[in-house]
Amino acid sequence: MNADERIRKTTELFAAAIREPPSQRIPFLERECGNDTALLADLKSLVSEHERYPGSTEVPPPSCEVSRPAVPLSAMDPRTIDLIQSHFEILERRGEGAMGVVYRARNRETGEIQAIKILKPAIASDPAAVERFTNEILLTHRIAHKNVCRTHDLYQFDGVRLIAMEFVEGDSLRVLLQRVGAASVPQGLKWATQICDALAEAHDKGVIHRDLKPENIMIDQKGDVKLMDFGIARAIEPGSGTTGTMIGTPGYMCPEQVLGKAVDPRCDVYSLGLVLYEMFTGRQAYQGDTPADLLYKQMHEDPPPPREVNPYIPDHIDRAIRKCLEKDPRARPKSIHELVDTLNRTEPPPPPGPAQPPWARVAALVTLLTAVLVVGYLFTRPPPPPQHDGRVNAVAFRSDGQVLASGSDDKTIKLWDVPSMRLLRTLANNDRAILALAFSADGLRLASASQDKTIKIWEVSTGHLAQTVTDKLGVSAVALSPDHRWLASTGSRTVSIWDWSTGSKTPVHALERSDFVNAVAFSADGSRLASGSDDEAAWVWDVKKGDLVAGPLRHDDSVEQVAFSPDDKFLASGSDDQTVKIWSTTTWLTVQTIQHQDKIARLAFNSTGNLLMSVTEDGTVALWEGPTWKKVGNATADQHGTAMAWAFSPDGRNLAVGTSKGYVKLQRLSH
Amino acid sequence: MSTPGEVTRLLGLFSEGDRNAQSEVVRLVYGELRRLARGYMRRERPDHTLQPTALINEAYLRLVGQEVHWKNRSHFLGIAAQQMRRVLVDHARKHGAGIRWGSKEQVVLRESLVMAIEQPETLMAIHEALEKLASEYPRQASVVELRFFGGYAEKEIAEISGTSIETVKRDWQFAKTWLSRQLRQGK
Repeated sequence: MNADERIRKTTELFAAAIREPPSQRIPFLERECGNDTALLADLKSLVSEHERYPGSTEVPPPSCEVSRPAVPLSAMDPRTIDLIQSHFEILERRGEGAMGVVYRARNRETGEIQAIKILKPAIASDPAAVERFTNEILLTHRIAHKNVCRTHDLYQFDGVRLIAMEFVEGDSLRVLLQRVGAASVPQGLKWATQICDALAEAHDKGVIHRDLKPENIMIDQKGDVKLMDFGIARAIEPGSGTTGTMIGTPGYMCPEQVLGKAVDPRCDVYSLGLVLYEMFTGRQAYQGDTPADLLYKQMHEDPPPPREVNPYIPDHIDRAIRKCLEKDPRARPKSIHELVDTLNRTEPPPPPGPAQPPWARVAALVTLLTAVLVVGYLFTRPPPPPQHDGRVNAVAFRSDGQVLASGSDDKTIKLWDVPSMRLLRTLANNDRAILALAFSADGLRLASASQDKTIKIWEVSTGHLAQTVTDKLGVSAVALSPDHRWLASTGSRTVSIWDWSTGSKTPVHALERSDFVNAVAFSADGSRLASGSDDEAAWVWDVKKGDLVAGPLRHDDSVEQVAFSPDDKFLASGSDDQTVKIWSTTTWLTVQTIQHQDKIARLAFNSTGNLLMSVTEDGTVALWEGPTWKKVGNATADQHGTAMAWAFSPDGRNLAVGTSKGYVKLQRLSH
Repeated sequence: MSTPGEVTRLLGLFSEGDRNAQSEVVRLVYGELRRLARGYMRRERPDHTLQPTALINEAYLRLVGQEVHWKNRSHFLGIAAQQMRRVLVDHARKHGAGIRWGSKEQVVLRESLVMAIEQPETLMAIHEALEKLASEYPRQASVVELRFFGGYAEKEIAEISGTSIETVKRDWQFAKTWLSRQLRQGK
């Protein structure tokens, strides 16, 4: 029966079966399916699914609840299931790898919680694969190390084979790297050392891993490495065939493995180099569109040095990684022991050279601190509770720098003492999320924009709500002019400019655009207002007259962010087209286009204007330094979430960051 | 932005078999839906309720206008449902960090879906299950896509896919059960 016939038969029989009275359905199917047991099993399970929710359109939630038996078992013979269940109480499905499905289960004999991997039928029925699988057990039995996942036994129930191993509660390095980009240097070093320890033990026992990759490296809840899947490893014994078929994962294979040549421990050293590269830089050393492309690059190209990707990587780690990645095995570290020694060299980094101009050092300091701020907390311990119960959308310093305000999706505004971060007051009189905040020049009042389409003015000292202005069109962004006279708001196709000094409830100007406006920003001298909108351009307005001064300043997609430099010489615009453009405010021509890897979410200049910070939607923070706008630092989101809002304090010494997970963090930037 | 006339012209070319015209329409429809959806998500009710049908109608009026041949309209609606799904899935991916399985709420497949964007995990689960269904039962999956992500009525779906209402009903019943089984089994 070909695929089309099978589809037709399955759907027709299903439709016919559910028209039968419930008691007749199974006999009907048994009659119709004849010898086709697979078809029968499929239809039976569909019919029972239908009966579970008869006539309803409700679908149960995706779930792996403990009480429910993990379902793919049902595809097996009931007798086999009983056999498995007599040994293991299946608790939950944990994932699926190339070899099969993994469950968390309780061993009925020992009471121990274990991970059991049920081999895919295609593998269980292939003698060569079963042999490899058996090897996995035998080999790992030789290795007893705290950083290697212990394997217990291989079971066979009829045609079903499964392997029981130590259950590791945690995530793979792959998952962690996807979450945070790169590990901090100390964290990365700790893991690198543990992976090395585990590999060294294996190598000493004559076992090569042969498939080392972030997916096979688990990090448990204590933050320790557990190396898994020595599944394709084979003992280095005479005659055991260490050459021949290509086994491994493209992208993490060593060149000699690609060529099908004999491999030795130095192959793991190479793969480890790739893992370390990725761990410290957040990027794969080799990137290709196809496996073939990847393999070609592995064979013929060198990746960019790790330090070029992440300047915080110490020189000796950079060199160690590059040495691991030598194409000639003889040029790599001779053993894991040698590599560990190199990695853990504890020489202090050389001080910055005197030739560096002073601003570069300041910039480097800011960069470093920002990176520490955002990357520094990786996976060390469960984070303290966040300051807000929802995403932080706005942070603002009072003009004296002593008070910080934060506004969140949790509908509150909180005022914090700087630098103690003691909570001073909560302003909770809002129906909806707070989207933007601005203090008045004298620091007595605070303006907030809320999703409930209001702009509220608060007395800071008492927390009293002084004034509410409703913008029927909605409010998603506000900006306050530096002299604190004008307030600009938008949330629709219109930008409203309000004269805050008069407290008027009608805007002075209503500036119309053809599409949604996403961002507004005042120039430092307060005379101009920039807006960015879905019409794929930024526009500049005269605040007093309400006239258009410049625009369209074109992008290829919606403009999400705008910011003037503190000297008003430049306007930066950030767009969904993944670029930040820097415009001259005299000629209105682009002086620089900075390409990013994702859509731009936030943009800000520092108080001296030599640094521009950008955040993209993937949570990556990058710092760019004028006048050439080269990248001088970057960081990625950590367990505190993605940076959603930030503000430099007026004296430039503090940086406040609000995150997607409700954290408000303060970072000292100098001395 | 394109003018209504341009999309109508492209749809005309598309029904004459011009593949380039199709990809151009897809690009325009996706852009427009995404723009509209984002506007709604950002500015509308706190639960970010999104009505795909309303969005598609608005996109339709903006891109095509009132007067269009029924065949072109079918093409448009088919494309729009696909692109609506893409918009929602893109959104869920972006905002679904830390996907949590086993949420207590029931996933409700209604005839015209009111999608709660705040449950990206649900949307992603449905999207993934639907991908699997499409690999085995493409026609049935497309009925779900049209109904779930496009919010179309049975009659419209029959029109778009060139089948009978009876077939649409049967496909929906089958797909719903299949998806239910898939979702209950987890990934």
